[in-house]
Amino acid sequence: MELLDNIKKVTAPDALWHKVNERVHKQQADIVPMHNVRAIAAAVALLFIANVVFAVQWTNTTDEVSLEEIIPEENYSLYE
Amino acid sequence: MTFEQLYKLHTDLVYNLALQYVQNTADAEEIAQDVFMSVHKNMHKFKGKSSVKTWIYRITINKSLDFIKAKTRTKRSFFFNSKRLDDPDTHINVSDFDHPGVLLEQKEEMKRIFDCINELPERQKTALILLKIENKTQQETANIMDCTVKSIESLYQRAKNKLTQKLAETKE
Repeated sequence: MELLDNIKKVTAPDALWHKVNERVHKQQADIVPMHNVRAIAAAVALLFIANVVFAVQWTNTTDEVSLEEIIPEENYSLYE
Repeated sequence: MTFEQLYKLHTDLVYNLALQYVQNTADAEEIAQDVFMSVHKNMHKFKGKSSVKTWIYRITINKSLDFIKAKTRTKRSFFFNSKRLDDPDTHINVSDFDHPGVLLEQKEEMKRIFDCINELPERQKTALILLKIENKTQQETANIMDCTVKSIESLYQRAKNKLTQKLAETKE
């Protein structure tokens, strides 16, 4: 077990920095498309909300219009 | 401090500590890469509750232990596949010994010692590596392992006893 005291410290290989740097750049490049994905997701969500708001408003508008306004009564008679 | 400065200050520390865990230059390089990727990803989250050095020591220990677990799993599945193919000579050996800090004339004996160290429980192994090989004080080791000096004393004592016993067994 005393042999463990003889273990020498070594210097890390120079190539290690290049490998780390390469991976860091790759990781950063991978992050960019994620921003795009988030932007697209946000745009889709906004479109969906706008669509819902529009649909609700449209439904409210048709509720206020009576059938008589759309179909003039004198042109139709169920008893004829 | 920039990432490059952090790297330059701690690269030898990380590489040497990883070497004590895996005793193999290729594996130690892979662990060191993982460590610095993690440092790069989390350096903005580092709150300074411990020193940067302690933080990097912890990351290195965790990455080394994860690496060994992953490698053991791969070797084990290979082992089972080989068993199915009726190959009785297959055995699990976590590392292919290639430790550049070991003198050539002591290589065989060191390999035997490290084989025994690799069989120790994770925390005992870490305490032994930090105190005996990395020459850290008990207080520094306690800070890195986030426990008390008393537990470090106990872990080290148990590791030493178990290692002595295992070495005696393998010598016979």
